[in-house]
Amino acid sequence: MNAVDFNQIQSFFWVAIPVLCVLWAVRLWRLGLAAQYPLLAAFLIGGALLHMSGVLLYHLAGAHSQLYVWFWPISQLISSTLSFLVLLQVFQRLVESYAGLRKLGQMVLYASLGVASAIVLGSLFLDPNTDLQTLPGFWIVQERSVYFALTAVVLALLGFAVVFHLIPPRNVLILFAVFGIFFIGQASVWALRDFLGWNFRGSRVLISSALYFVCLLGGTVTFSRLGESEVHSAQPGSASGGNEGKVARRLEEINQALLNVFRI
Amino acid sequence: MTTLWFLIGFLVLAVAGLGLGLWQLVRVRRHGRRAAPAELAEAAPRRSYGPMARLFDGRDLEFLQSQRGWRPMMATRLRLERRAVLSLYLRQVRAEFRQHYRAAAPRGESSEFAAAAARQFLVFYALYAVLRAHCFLGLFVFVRTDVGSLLAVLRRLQERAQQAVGQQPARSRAATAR
Repeated sequence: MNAVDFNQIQSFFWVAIPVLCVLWAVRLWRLGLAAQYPLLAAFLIGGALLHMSGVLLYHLAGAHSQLYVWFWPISQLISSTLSFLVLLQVFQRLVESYAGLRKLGQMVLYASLGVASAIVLGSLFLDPNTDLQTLPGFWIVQERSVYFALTAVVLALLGFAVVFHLIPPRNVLILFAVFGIFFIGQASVWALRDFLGWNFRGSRVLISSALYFVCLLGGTVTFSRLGESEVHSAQPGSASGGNEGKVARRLEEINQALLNVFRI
Repeated sequence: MTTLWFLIGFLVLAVAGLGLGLWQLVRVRRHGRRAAPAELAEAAPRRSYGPMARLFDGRDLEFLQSQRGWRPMMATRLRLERRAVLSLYLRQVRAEFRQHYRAAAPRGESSEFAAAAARQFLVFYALYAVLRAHCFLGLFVFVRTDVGSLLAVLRRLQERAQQAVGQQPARSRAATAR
C-alpha cells in the first residue's frame, strides 16, 4: 500500500470514528435507551470529543509539538477510564434483575481488575524489552497493560454471567461482543507493537482505527429497543439438550431394576 | 520472547473465552433457564438415588464369588457395567443439580444466598470431579462416600431452591400490596 492510499484511509477513519460515536449516542437517545446506558453515552460523547481534539491538534500543531505530546497520554488516560466505565455499565445492566448477585458481582469485577493489573504490571517489570526510561516508551507499555486488564475484566464478567446462568438483554450481549473484540484486538496490536518496534507504528494506527470503526459500526447498527426485552421461557432445563430425556428414561428403567434387586 | 508467548497465549485464551462465553449466553437466551416455582417443586423429590451408592457394594461381589461357575472375568465385567450405570446416574444428578441451580441461584435476593449457591456450585463440581477420577482410576471403594457427599450437596441446593422460590411469591405479593 503506498503512502497516499494509507493517508486517505487514515483520514477516512479520523472522520468516521467520531461520526460513528455521535451516531451511536444519538441512536441511544432516539431509542430512549440513554437513561439506561448513561455511561455508554458518556463513553461515546467523550470518545468523539477526544478523537476530534486529537485530530485537530495533530493537524494544527503537529505530531511532535509539545501540546500534542502532552495531550496524547492524557487523552489515553481518559479514554481508558471511559472504557472501564462502559464495563461498569455492562455489569450494572447484567445484574439489574438479580439483586442478590450484585455484591458478589462487584467482588468479581474489582478482584478481576486487581488481579489483571497485578499480572500485567508483573510481566512488565520481568520483560527485558520494556522501555520504562522514556515517557512514550512507558506509555506504550502502559497502553498494552490497560487493554490486557480490560480484556481480563470482560472475560471475568462473561464468566460470571455464564456461571450464574444470567440472561442479559441482547444489547448487553452486543456490548460484550463489541468491546470484547475491541479490547482483545487492541491488546494484540499493542503486544505486537511492543515486539515489532517503531516500524509497525503505521500499520498499528491503521489496524487500531479499523478495529475501532468496525466495533462502533457493529454497535450502532445492532443496538435496538427490542434488544432490551427479557426472554421468558417456560421450559425448565431445556437448555441441557435433548439427550437429558433419553438418559432420564434409561436411568429410570435401571433404577427400577436395581430397586428390585436391592429391595430398598 | 517468553513474555511474547505469554501474551499470545493469553490472547488466544481470551478469544476462545469470549467466543465460548458469548455462545453460552446466546444459547441460554434462546432456550431459557428459568423453571417456574411450581415445576421446580414438582421436580425435587421425584427420583431415588439410593441404588447409586450401592453399585460397588462388596457384598455383591462376595455373593457372586460364592456361586458355582464363578470366574474372575465376571468381577471385571460387573464393575464395567456398574461403572456405566454409575455414569448414567451421575449425568442425571448433574442435570438435576443444574436445573435447580439455574432456577434458584439468580432468584436469591440476598447476597448471602447468592454466595451460598456459588459455594455449593463449586463444591458440587469438585466432588463430581473427584468421583469421576475415582471411577476412572478404579478406586471403587470411595464411591459410596463420594456419592453420599454429592447427594448431600444436591439436597442442600434443593432445600435452598425451595426456600428461594417459596419466598419469591410472598415478596411479590408484599410488593403488589404496597
